[in-house]
Amino acid sequence: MDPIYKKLAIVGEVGAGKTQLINVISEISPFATEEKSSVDIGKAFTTVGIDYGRLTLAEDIALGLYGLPGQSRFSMLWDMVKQGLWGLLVLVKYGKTLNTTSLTKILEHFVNSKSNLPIVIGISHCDLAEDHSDIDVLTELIQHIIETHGLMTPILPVDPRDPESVLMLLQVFDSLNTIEAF
Amino acid sequence: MKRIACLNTLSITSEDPKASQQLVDIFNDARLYNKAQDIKGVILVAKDVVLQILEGDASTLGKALYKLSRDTHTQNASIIMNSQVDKPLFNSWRIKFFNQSNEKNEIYLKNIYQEIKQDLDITSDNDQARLDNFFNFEEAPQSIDNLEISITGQFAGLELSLKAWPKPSQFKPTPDLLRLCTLLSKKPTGYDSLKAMGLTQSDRLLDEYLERLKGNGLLELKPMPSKNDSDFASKEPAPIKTGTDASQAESGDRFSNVLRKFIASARKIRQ
Repeated sequence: MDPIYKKLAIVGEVGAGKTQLINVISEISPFATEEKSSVDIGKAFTTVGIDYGRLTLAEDIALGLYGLPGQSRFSMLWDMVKQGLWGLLVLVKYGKTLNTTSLTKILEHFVNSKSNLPIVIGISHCDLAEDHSDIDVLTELIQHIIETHGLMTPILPVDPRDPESVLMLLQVFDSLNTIEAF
Repeated sequence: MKRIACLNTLSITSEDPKASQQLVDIFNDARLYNKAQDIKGVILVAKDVVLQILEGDASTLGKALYKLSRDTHTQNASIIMNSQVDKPLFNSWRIKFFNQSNEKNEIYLKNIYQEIKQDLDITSDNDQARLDNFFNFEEAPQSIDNLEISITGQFAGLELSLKAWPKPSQFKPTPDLLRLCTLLSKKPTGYDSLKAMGLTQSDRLLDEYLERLKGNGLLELKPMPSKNDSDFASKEPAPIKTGTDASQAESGDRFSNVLRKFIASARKIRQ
């Protein structure tokens, strides 16, 4: 049988948790392109290219994990992994303010009317919210934005440090990919 | 405690590509300010109209009103309620969007309207027209209550689909629920078919999930189309796939099988 290789793209703004998420499930140390931050972005190092991780599921079956920066100036990197994606995870960071420009640009870039690409919006850093209603408010806003793109996708809280949270995400993508079989 | 309501019109219309970012800016401003000032309430957005209902002490709301009137994201601010209330209507601050795909929120709007209608002070036709975007209930959406439902199996004979995914606070995402929501978000499915698919561990659990989805206004329910309906043909089983399609489907199945095994074993190790 032919080997199977699927690709999961993880796109999000600085500090959303892309590298951490890949670290949690990749069996190899992510091939990362981290650089020391030149301005204060809340952490010493940040990804300036692609993070790559791999999850081997069987001898001839693997899932490639591609962490991509969310800023549209890196859209040439998005193009490099766009073809034949198994799933797209857009990580949105909970914080004092919400920047949805990148979410809008990412959706515009990856989604077209012909594609049936499984998409999940993950909200990270939910532990910074004071209560559930804060997350609900953010969810409502993201919901509105994805509806304007004609999409209905799950919006889930994600903790990129927690393996269970990442397994749950894989489960969602599996459901989104296989439900057509019913 | 004071309660005020203010109508505004968005400066950039909803058709403009920048409209989403405009709403985000309003959201970011209001969220930070209202939290800092302990203002509770809601921002309702329908088409290009924004209705803010805010509660707090008089001086704080006065400043909030001034800020609203200076906000360049909106125009034509009009105060349509300024009343003293004993009991708060809101215990947090939210933003909510209402459009055709959000009919589920009609009950929410009706509840708000019941509470505020006696205090509304509408002085112009334009304000009334803007308010009608939220509180015009004459054309009730098709409701399941209008359909004949058997008491014993409330979903029997119905076709179900998902209007929106549940919010994180509404449901804990279990594998069963994720599969159910995924299917219903992709295609309307009859209740009997859902049972036959065995998506959940038991029929009882399926009913429980469906009832909770319905209770949260996330489920669209319609009578099953009759065999004579023109769109029935589209619900016939898909033709058998051949060539590349078949091989892709096979590879998808193999991938999914090993992924599920991996997830199960990873969880076992963690326990």
